[in-house]
Amino acid sequence: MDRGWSSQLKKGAVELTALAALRDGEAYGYQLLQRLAGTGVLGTSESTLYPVLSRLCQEGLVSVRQAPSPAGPPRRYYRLTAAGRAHLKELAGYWREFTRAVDGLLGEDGR
Amino acid sequence: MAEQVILEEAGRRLDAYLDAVEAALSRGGTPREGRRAIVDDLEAQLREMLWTRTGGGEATIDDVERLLAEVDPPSAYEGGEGTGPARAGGVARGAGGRGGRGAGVESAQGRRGATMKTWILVALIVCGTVLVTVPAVSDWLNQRVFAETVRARAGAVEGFGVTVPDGRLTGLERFAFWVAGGVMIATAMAVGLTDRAKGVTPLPKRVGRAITGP
Repeated sequence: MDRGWSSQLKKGAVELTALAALRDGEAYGYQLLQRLAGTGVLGTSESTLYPVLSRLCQEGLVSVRQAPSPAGPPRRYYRLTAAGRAHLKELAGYWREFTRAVDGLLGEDGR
Repeated sequence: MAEQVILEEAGRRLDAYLDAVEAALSRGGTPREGRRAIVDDLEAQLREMLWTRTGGGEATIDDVERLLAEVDPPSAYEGGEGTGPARAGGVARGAGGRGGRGAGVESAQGRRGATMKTWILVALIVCGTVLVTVPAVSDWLNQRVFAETVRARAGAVEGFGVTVPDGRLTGLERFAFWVAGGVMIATAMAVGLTDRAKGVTPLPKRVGRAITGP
């Protein structure tokens, strides 16, 4: 597997995957990293995810609240807003079209 | 619940890493509010990882160094959103996890440019200070050595209408030195303060503070 290509693919999809990972409930940054890593394929790094989360927050697609943490500084919990859910739906729709098109080119046996 | 104890050296190392990340974000054009949010998330993550690995006990410099070896280097934050590495293994898990460090993107050119700029500012301040003090130094030297020498030589021809030079700078020359030196210092301070307001401090904090103030 070409790690450069897969890395670029993951980076391109990080906005979609981050929003999707928040769909079922709020999560703080490190927890979100672990959720994505738990999929086995979508793991990304903090330097990729946190800037995206910051932008999503500025764009109003996620809201953030702080809560105390036993480990040190407060945790920042992210939650999808209504605009974020709508944006996720839009991205998901485009993703399905995209993957359908790629699958069509690849054919049944992947060639 | 009591907060974890991080030994002083370990705490300084952690702070230095977070400061370097913030500086890299600044060079990448991330606005101040965004930088704060990203660094806060990162700090919370690192503290939680330390907590997990030490069982809530004291965190040493070795603990912090091992942890920082696994996360992205500060330079990974410089290229803007989405340019950091996406590690194949994902984030490190638990006490024994090793997520594998991403390749990172070294922006050596950007770092060198910023460091060179700061050293130029330092040179401007030093040269400006020298220029400003030249008149005073000149007077001192004149009093000690130069006047005696010149007068000793001039004494041989005194009385023939020759003006005896006294080796002192004229008022205009003094003014020129003061203005040149003052402009250099003022320029360096203005640029340094502007950079500090942007959060760019490529040199160690103590040097940055010496140049621009706390």
